Amino acid sequence: MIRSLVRKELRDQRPFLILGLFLELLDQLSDLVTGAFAQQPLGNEIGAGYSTAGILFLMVIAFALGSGLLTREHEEGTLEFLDSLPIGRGWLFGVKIAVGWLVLMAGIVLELVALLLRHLWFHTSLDGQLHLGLLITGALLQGAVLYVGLALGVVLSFAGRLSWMLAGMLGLFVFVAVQQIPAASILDPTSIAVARFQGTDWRIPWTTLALHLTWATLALLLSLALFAGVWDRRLRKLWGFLSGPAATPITVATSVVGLVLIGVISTEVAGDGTAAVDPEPSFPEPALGQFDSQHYAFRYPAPLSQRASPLFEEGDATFQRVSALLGVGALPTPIRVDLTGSAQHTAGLAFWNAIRMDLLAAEDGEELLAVLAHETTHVLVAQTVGAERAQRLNQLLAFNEGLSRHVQRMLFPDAPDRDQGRTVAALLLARRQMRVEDIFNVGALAADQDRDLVYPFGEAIVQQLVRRHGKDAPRKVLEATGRKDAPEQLDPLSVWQDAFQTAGYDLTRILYDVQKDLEREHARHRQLHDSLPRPKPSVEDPSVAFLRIVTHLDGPLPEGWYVACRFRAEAGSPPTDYEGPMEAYDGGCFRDRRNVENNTLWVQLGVVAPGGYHVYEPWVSIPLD
Amino acid sequence: MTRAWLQKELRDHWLALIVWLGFAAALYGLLLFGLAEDQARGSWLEAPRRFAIGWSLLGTTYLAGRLIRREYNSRTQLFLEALPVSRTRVLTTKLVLGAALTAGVFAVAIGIATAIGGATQAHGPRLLAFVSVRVLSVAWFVWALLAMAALLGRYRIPLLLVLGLALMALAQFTSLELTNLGPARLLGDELPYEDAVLPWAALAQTWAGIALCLGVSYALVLARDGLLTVQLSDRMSHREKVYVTCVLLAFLVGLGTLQATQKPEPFRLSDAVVAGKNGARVEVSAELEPELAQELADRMLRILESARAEVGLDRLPGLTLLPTRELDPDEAERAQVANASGVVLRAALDDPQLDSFRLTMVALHDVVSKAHDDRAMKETSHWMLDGFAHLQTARELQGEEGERLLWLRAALIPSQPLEPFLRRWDPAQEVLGTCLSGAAAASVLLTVETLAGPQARQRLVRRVLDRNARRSWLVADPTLEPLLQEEAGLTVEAVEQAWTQRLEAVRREHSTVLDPLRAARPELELRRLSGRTFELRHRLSLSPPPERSPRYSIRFGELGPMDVPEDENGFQLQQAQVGSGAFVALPAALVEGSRWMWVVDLPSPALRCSVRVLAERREIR
Repeated sequence: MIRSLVRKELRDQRPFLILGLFLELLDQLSDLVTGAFAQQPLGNEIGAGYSTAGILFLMVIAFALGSGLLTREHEEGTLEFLDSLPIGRGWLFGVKIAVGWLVLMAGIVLELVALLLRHLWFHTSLDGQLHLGLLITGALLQGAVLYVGLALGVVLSFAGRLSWMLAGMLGLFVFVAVQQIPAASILDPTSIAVARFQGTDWRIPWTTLALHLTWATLALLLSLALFAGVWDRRLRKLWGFLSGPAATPITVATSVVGLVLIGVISTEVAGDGTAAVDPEPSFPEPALGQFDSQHYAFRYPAPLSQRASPLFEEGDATFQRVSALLGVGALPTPIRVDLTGSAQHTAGLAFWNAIRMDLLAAEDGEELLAVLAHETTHVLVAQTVGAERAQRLNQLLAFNEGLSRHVQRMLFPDAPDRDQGRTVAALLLARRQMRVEDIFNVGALAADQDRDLVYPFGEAIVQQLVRRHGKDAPRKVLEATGRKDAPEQLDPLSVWQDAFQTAGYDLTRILYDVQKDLEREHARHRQLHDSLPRPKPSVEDPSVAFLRIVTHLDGPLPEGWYVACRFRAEAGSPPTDYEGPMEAYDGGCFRDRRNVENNTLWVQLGVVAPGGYHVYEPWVSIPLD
Repeated sequence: MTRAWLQKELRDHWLALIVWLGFAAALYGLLLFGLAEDQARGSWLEAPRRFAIGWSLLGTTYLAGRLIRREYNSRTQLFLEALPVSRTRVLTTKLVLGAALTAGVFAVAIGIATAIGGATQAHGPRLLAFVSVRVLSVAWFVWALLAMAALLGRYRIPLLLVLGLALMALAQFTSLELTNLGPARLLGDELPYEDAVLPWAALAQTWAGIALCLGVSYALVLARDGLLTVQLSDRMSHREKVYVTCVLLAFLVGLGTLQATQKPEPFRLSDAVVAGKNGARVEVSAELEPELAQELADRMLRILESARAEVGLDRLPGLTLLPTRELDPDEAERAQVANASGVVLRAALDDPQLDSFRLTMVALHDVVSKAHDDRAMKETSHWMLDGFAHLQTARELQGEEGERLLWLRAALIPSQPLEPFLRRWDPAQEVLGTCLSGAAAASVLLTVETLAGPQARQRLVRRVLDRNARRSWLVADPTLEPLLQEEAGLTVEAVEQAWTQRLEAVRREHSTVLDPLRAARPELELRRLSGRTFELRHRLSLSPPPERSPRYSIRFGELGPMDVPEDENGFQLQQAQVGSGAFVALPAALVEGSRWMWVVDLPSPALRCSVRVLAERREIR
């Protein structure tokens, strides 16, 4: 009887089996065509199948299978027929779960076998081992994820058509929790099987694994109880209730909770309330002033009109100088300038034809005008490229920032940090810590080094472009970027190449000039550069709640310099989420363990000059388990 | 009658509509709150833009389900059929009501944003009119689309997904940019600021979309006396759901796979000196002096053309040479070029000290390898590719002196059995470095030539680098013994004996050059910085100590769990003085349990290349 049931279940789950086979076959065919088939199969592919996206895909498939496992019999009216068989619902449930999991595992096993066969056939003498332990660990962890996804699908299937929405809400909840408290990554079931290696070992997240297997088993037991005992009466009522009158209120309530969670994500968490807070006197909001010139429409806090007056008096002249330098004409409508404030650590922000500036961030009128020139350049750059191609400026970020900085320097040459940025860029190049081309991929630059490097490198590129091809060259590059027939779907390097090539310039030639220029810069500061120590981090005691990161120096720091640390939760954290930089006191920095995700501490050390500029080392990840 | 009809709709859905409006208010409130907290906001009109993106999909889906799909699902539509009202009017009333509700919500949203932002930002009537036109057009487009989908009953979700996937596929395989298409373009980043130009083309596309959706909706309602929509409204069976899901997933994954297999276009520079002949093409960046660039392009073309003829290839992939200041003159670096084919190398091309041998050898190696999709990089063939590239370059650039240098370099490696040495080429290459391993492989080819003549050596090279490389990845290469037998009529023993004898002779003849290099002693020690972190200290001494102490280099990088050939160019580099006595610390923190590789190279003026002194993979313990 059990055998017949297994056969029936296999027949029912056939689409998933075919899907698994199809996807695997497609994968192998694709590798065969692209030539990846024979190139170090294990070494190249061991991490690819264990990415977060890959594991999430497995979870979704398992959930889809699980959510229909029991409900199908109910929906299609076959449950009554099965009840007439000489077998209990417990057996029925067990067979369904076992067959469902095995069907899901078929794809994993098939992938494993294909990988092993390819490795046996194509392995090199550098690594002839099968690494069975590692591969089986990976497959079992994937199996655990499938089990969790299956259990979630089965238990939520009792919520009828709300099951997918509830699963989405749970996912959102976990996402928000991890965003707010990195240590909550334990709640994320996909992190069970994401590849994390330490040497040749797989770092198994035992606590996460135990937690999810436990609740998944409890969920299955609950499902069994529901399926075996009360299905016919109360559950059928509940089913009707959830699918009928309760569906809309539950949808609305769940959506509201979802919105609140989204709201939580977009709002910074306030302090923990333990620190004493001085009573804060409140003052009325200042009145707003307006000043419309030929090229700008200013809105500003009225009490700061004196501070803003250089902008009113010199704003139009500044616009004309910027537009003359870029070789572009006036805009059809004035640029709206909101002087009530800007984002943290910024003096100004630019949008399509609007600017926000912080009047208090500038020392004097000259600096305010410099900021206005910088932001105006951004506006004119976007307008020159045009709305349809403006997205491309994200890939040309270094060019955009470099051009704005270049214009600012040309018009206001006394800006304080010019040589500092160049010095850092020259030093990093000389150390071979990075290459000029690295600035094309801003995401990777931020992940490995420092996103702010786009400023000095971008400025150096624009300077060399102008030196070699004249002051109209940047505009021609922008016009080439914004042309209607520009190819789409390009990677950042290709966007740069396409824009320069169309404008008639050779990007490699410009990069070559930049290298030469920064070499000279390095030679000028060689003594200082050679004297800078390179700090290395280590964790004093990984078991304590407040981690102390010891900073090791391979030489003394020059007078006035100090070591700084900054932290992030994971490799892909956006720079806005970084914590720090904070000065290392007594040879160390501290980090609350609750802010550490997946037991891996990400730290970046740097040395800071008396003028305030940072020379960072590459990011380092230190496992704590 | 229309008024009565509207009253009926409002009576049916008043509670749901109140909840719907409340939900819209909650979402918009959250958006406004988020925007107030967002220090990087540019305009309060960003709120209606974001609201249009979110609410058009969430809220309109619900509205379409409630006003239209529910009527067919619950079969109340059959009751309506009995009334003296045309199907067209029923649908029109529902469509107008939905459009009015949608427009009302967005109009209020724009009004609130204007009221809040008006104090600090100049929102002229022209800007507000532009924003309203763009937002409402998108909202009505989404409403028309989802209303049409609601009439498709159980196939609405699969069809919407297929529509989305088809658009994605179109974008992947053509130059279509989805963000520039109709509604997406209308909700572009510049929406809250743009008051000069309306995107007329996008507006026209959006309204054409609205007209199309409305046309399909009416056609569905009127087809087969309204029976079609009734039939479509039946619930999807579980089996149907599973099949549809599987088909969609397969379609999605297949799309990605298809994209991965597309052949890229050849890499081209806009401004370059080009030389081409028969099946070879060389580009040199115009950054170089024109004469130098032309001379380099011509020389490289001549060498490539000669190599092509030697190997018997029909044509070679293009070669592009770029100058750089980031590399020492004895380095040549391969570029990873996305979306383009061919070989791109960079080197210090205008440096008088440029190592032409190294540049030419790397170029030749990569171009021949790429001719058959890198099949010659398989470990069983790789020694032949390395040997051929070194030998051909030496002959082309240095003549007999080149061959003498190859033997001198090869003599530095320890004597060992030939067959396992060539078979286990990846570790051999790592331990010996490019200079010594390439010279060793070339010396084997020279030995074959000495024993069986140049024709036999050429047959051997052609067999491995052309005929074998044309075959499928799945076909195994022949081992050394049959290869030598079939192409040169030699045994492995005979070649090994002649090779070893020649190496011994060179060692004896040049012992003054080779012995000090063999005596190089690298020392490495791991020092614990803390419980889990280490640093590596290193020094190198020569015996006898040289008069002028050279600098050695150490390259280092972190490894994954498997051992694959590593690109040492991607490693970090440190240089230190030979024989200084003091240990030098590597500028990297090594975490316990991680795996690292480091290689130590020492430049040798006599051998005219850097000699590998040490290569080590180690797990930090």
